[in-house]
Parts: sequence; structure tokens; C-alpha cells
Amino acid sequence: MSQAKETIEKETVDKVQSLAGEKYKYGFSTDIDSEKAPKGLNEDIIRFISAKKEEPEWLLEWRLDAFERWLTMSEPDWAMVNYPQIDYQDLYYYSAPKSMDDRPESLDEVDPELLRTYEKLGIPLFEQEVLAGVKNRVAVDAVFDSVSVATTFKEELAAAGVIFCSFSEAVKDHPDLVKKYLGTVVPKSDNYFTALNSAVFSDGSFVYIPPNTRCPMELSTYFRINEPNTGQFERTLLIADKGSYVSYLEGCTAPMRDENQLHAAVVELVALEDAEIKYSTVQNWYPGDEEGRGGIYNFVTKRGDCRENNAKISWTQVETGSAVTWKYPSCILRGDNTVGEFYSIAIGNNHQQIDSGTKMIHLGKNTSSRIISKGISAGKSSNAYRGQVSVHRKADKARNFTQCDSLLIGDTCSAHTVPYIETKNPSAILEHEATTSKISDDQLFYCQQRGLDAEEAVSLIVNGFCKDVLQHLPMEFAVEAQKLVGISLEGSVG
Amino acid sequence: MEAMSSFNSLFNSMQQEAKDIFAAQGWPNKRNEDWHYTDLSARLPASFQNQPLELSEDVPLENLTCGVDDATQLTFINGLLSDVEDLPEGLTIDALIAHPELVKQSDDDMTDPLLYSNLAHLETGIVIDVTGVIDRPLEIHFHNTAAEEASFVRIIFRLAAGASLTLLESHSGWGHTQLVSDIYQAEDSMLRHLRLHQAEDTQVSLLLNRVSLDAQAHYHNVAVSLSGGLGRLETRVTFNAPGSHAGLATALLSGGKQHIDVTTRLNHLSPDTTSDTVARTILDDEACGIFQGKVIVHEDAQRVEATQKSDALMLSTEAMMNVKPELEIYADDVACAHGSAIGEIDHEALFFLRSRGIGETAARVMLVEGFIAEILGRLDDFAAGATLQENLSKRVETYLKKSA
Repeated sequence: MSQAKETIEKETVDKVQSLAGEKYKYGFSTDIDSEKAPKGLNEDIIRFISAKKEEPEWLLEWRLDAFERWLTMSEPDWAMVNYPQIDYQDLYYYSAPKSMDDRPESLDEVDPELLRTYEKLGIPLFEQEVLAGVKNRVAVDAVFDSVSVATTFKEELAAAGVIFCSFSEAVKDHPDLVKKYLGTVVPKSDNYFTALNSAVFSDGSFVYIPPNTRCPMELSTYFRINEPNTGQFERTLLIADKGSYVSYLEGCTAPMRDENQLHAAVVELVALEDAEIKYSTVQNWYPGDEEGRGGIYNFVTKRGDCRENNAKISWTQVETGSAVTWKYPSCILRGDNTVGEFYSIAIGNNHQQIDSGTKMIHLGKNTSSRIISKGISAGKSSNAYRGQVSVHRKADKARNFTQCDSLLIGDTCSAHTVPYIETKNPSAILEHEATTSKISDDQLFYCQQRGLDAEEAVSLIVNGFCKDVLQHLPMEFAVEAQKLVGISLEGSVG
Repeated sequence: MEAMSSFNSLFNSMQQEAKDIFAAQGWPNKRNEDWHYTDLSARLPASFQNQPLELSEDVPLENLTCGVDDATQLTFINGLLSDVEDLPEGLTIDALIAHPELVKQSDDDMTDPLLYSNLAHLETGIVIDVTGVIDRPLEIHFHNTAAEEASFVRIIFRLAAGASLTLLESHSGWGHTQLVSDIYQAEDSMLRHLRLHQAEDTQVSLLLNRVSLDAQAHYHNVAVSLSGGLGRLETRVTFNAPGSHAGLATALLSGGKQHIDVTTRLNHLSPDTTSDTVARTILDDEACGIFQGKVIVHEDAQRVEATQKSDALMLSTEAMMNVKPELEIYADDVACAHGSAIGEIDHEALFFLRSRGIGETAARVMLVEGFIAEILGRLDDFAAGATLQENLSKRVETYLKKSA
């Protein structure tokens, strides 16, 4: 048995190493002329971005204020990640595809180069319409670099009263909504990266679901980093008005590059009374090569506010890409009876570094939250779960359950768990469980006994390990996510 | 004599360095991650009057020590070692000042606030050598007689190969106590360490325990805290060789405005090492409890098993509990787990007892006793374990009845 075990371990380790052979499938870049501001960051650049987007004065002021605050802040260093110092003056803060001026009326008019890019990305604009049938269509607000260039299904959504558009359009067409909610969940000086984002954000998505409306389709945004040296600063604002429901999907891929790329996005969700938001992310940006060169720096601030009673926000994420991930989708459970959920799979391989988790802030009465986090480390990666559950004085009968499990594959990777649990209310019931282990020999033996070879067995077990989270993804995403788990890891062990 | 004076100058220069660091850095604040929940800079004076108080008469210490009759007693009053009894064979005590290498070794990290503040104000330092199996427990009692008294003590324990000792450490009184205990355990040695903290509600206790374990060395710690003001009970264990094991069990009963912080850091450097940590915290009134546990499994430290469990019972609406159980794992063949649960007294259990005719107060006391029974149960293997369990159970009961 022990001999068999050694063989398995060796094979597993070899396979993990051979992951280097599993090249990044989406490693390509498309040559499209783009218009960009000069490198560097100062007030003029911010004015340039704002002018370029024809923004109102208040938004420019808002940006400049954020920039002023950013100058006084310093980059956070508490996360368990290491990366070379970022020279913020050596980045481009604005780049827009040139064909912006004559914005296409329909997909037929979209730059064929772009469409080919999407095809390579696997964004099934047409395909999904055919496959999924009209009732289950997915609207895509595709973001190519920093400006939205294609939005579909707008009319059908408009009929339902749903506003789903690029952020810049929202600023023009729905300034009151933007003004009312922008920065109310994630204040501009919340942290270093949100201040930077607030100053220079280029575009993003805006969603408003009117009261008592169930959004007729899953909304989806595909992010795409394309231009070299372009930091991408997306801003997403999603408001679910009273009694509404929306499921939002976000997926990302990026072309292969040698130079590190910075991404500092901000996502704000607002759920009013009885509203429910389901926000799902599959993130497979370029993680760097097997030596740890290149790859995306992903510093994202995502936060949802269950602002009124009975609201619910659920985050589901599959994180397989990026060289460095710094991301903590959080829920503020402000209203009574509100619910926050966080389901996460974070897979690290080669030199990837992940510091991710969530925050559940219980402020209202009878609030409940649930955290399921599965971290898998392979190669030389480092994977940290960092989460906070905080129950405030008035949050009577708050309830939290947290489970964070780590799986280690190979002896050169690492897994960390850093939970913060804080309570000021005795009626709160908080439970936290965490385990770190490698794949159990018993399970392997059991599978092998039934005729699976070692690697099939490992693959089966890893799939099972993630299942709790995968089942919370919407159908449209589950397939892509499972494929991703495959690309990121299963290829290495199974 | 010459060597002594040259050592003195070495010691003085180290102490001066520590004083300079203390003057510049002061106490840590909550921006320091290790002190996030216990902001000393906001709670402690920036400097101390460091003159031990003169004692006019004997201090009565009954009911403050662990109450084991045949224990060898060492007593520190206001930071000064007051009397040394006959020591059993295999146990020797020496002044720290005669061991320059130990001070140097012990103060390897001058960025550590507990170390530099201790060295900067150090009043008494002793070295205790254990060379055999000692049957009689050794009790070291610390007592401050006044609120303005601050005492700073360092004790270095060295357990030779195969040595074994039951150490009873107890704290009482007022003022500020700061103790750094460095414990070096050679192979196959065994230290059973009870720490009883039973101080007045204004007392500040900063107790740091650093344990270094060689092959097959075992360290068993049981800490029981009954009241006190601001307390930080910090234990750091380094597992240097296979077969070493540490068991840390803590029971905290706190009330009033007490702020009690249990911090553990377990460094598994070697493969085949094991640890288990259990903390049970009971919070009443406006008490604030903290558990920060950290298990680090270093590269190549395969087959490490480490478990960490922290449970807290909140008895009042004003109480507060903060928990941070961390795992930092760099090896793959490990089994590490932590669990944490916070809640109030189970109403069903309370109803069960009351429906059987037990009064509410008595029922609550029973449930709380049951909650920490596992911790006291760990005293079984200690020398005079039965007496200790009995004494502590009684004190816990008295404490609970009083606060109920």
C-alpha cells in the first residue's frame, strides 16, 4: 500500500508539474486600433477621461476627489501575496476601441475582428440564442478593453423596465440613479484600489431592476483585457429595487502577455426590500507562465448591501486565473431578515497567489450568512482564505455558518486560512470549520479498488471537493466553470 | 569576577537597546496585526515607575496559590523573588545574569513588543534547570501588592533529556505583571504546566510563554483564568524535531470590564509533530474575549497533525468575543483543522435541567461547569492532579455563584 501511495504521489506531482504543458487556451491578442491617453496618472488624465466620456461636472469632481484621497493612501500590504512594486505612472489609464464613434446598431455591424475575438473566447452570442431558446437568452454587455461596444437584448429588457447598459450610458441616460447609488456601498476612499478605480474608472456595467420585477434573463458581462499596459478599471453598479430578482454573470479571459497587467475593479450591489441578487463570477484571466512571468494582477473590491428588510445577496465565484488575486466579495446585512451567501472555489497553480475570501457584516436582526470556500493549491501556488464575520450589538439572532476547506496537491504549494470572527451579541450563533489536507489515501484506495486508475480517482475526488460550490452556479455558467476546473487542475491530476 | 562584569556590561547594553526601542516604539497599537484586538498603546501608561515597593509585613497568599501542599514554592512579590525553599534533587535555580548566552538567545527578536518591554524594565531573571524526573510540583507564584506596582520577570527553564516536571504558575494581586518564560525542552522531556490567573479586576498581566521542543518532548499546558483586568496569555511553541507534541488547553471565565486575550502560535518546523489547542471562553457583563490561534506548518514538515478549537459562551448582551484561528500550511501531507463556535447558553439544555427541578442559577452554573470540564480534565496527568482539579472546580463554582 505504501508503495502504491508513493507511486500515486509521484504521479500526482509529475502531473502537476506537467501542467506547464497545459497552455493558456485563450492566449491570443487581437490587433485593433485603439485610442489612448498617454501613460501616467495625474489630474489632467482624469479630466481627459471624463471629457472623453462627456461626463457631467459632478462626476468629474467625484473622480478628482477620489484621486486626491488616493494620493494620500498607501498600497495595502497585509495580504499574503508578493508582487513587484507597481509603477502607477507607467500605466495607461484610458484606451477605447477606435470604432467607438460610429457605434454599431446591431451585432451585424460590430467590427468582425471583435466578433472573431469573442468567438475565440467562447462567448456564444448567437450560439446561446439558438441553444438555449428565446426564453432563456443571455444578454451580453461585452467589454472590450474599457468601453462597451456591443449590447444585446436591450429591447426585451427595456420592455420589462430593466436597465442594463454600459456605465457611461447610464451616466448620460440615468444620471439620477447613478448619482443616488454610486459609491454608497463602496465609498471611494474605502481602500487604495477603490480610490484608484473611482478616479480613473473607464467603463463597466449598470443594471437597474425596477420594483417587483423578475429580470427576464440572466444578465452577463464578459470582461476582456486586451491592450498591453492598460490597467482595467471597471465599475459595476447593480440595483435591485423592492421585490425584484436578478441573476448576473461575469466571466473573464485575457490574452497571453509577458508584462503584468493591473486590474482594479469595483462592483457595488444594492438590494432593496425583498430583492434578491445572485452574482456569479468565473475568472480565468491569464495566470502567468509556469515560471510565474506575466499574468494579471486582480485587485477587486466587490460589496453588496442588503439595504432593506428581507433582501438577499449571493456571491458565487470560481477563481482560476490571475497571477495575483486580492478579492473579498462582501455582504452588508443591514436590513432585518437579510441573507448573505458566499460560495467560492479558488484554484491556484504554478506561481499563482490568491488571497480571497469574504466579509459578512451583520447589522440587522435575524440576519443570516453562509460561507463555503474551497481552496485548491497545486504547483508553487499560495492560496489564502481571509474572511470576516462580524455581528454588531443590535444584530439579534444573527446566524453564520462558515466552512473553508483547503486541498493541497504537491509539496511546494501552500494554503492559509485567516478567519476573523467578531461578535458583540450573545444571541448570535456563529460556527466556523476549516480543514487543510491532501487527498485522503482512504478515498483514493476506495476509488482504485473499484477500478479507477489513480489519476481518475484524484480527478473524481477534486470534483467532489468543489461540488458544494459548483451547484450554486447558474446553468449557463456551470458548464464553463467545470471546464475551467478541468483546465486549471484536472488536467494536472486526472 | 571579570567575566561577570563583562557580562554585566553586555547585559546593560542589551537592556539599554531595549529601553531605546521601548522609548521609540512604545506599546503596540491595533495597526499591528498581532495586537489588532488588544490595543496596548491605548490602555497602558507610556512609562513605569520601576521601584519595587518595600514590604512591611508578610503577604497572605492563601487561596491564591494552586493549593498543593507538598509543592516546592517560589514566590515573586512585586517582581522580586522573596524566598527559596529547599529544592528537590534535580532542580537548580541560578541568576539569569550568570548566563549571558541565554539572554542573547532569548532576545533574538527585538521587534517583539513583549520582549523589548520586558527586557527594558527587567527586575528579576532566573534560570531553572531540571535534570531529572521531579515528583513534587514546583509552584511559582506572582503577586503584586499595589496598583502602582509594575513587575517585570523573566524565567528560563531548561529541561534536560528525559527530565519531567509539573509546574504550577499562579498570578494574583494588583498592578502590572509582565512575565516572559522561555522553556527549552531536550528530547524525551515532559513539562506539565498549569497557569492559574486569579487577579484583581484592575490587574494587567502580559504573560508570554515560549517553548522549544526537541525530539519526543511533550509540553502540556492548562491555563485557567478567573477574573483579572487586562490579560494577554500568549504561548508560542516551536517543534524542532519529530515526535514532539504540545497540548494547550485554556478556560477563561471573565466578567466585569475584563479584556482577556489568548494568543497561540504553533510553529511546526519538523515533520511528525502534533499539537492540539482548545480554548473555552465564558463572557459575562462587559467582558471582551479574544482567541487568536495560529498554526504554521513549514515546508517539509510532513505528517503534522494540528487541531485548534475555540468555543465561546456569551452570558451577557454587553459581552464581546473576537476569534481569529489561522492556519498557514506549506506542506501537503498534513491534517490540520480548526473549528470555532460562539453562542449563548443552550435554552433546551437549560429547560431540561429546570424541568427536573434544578433552580435557574444552579442549572446555569452546571452548564458552564460542563462547558469547561474538558479543560480541567486535562489536569489528570499532572502531579497532584486530583487536588488541583478539586481546588479549581471549587474556585470555578465559587466564581460562578458569585457572578450569578
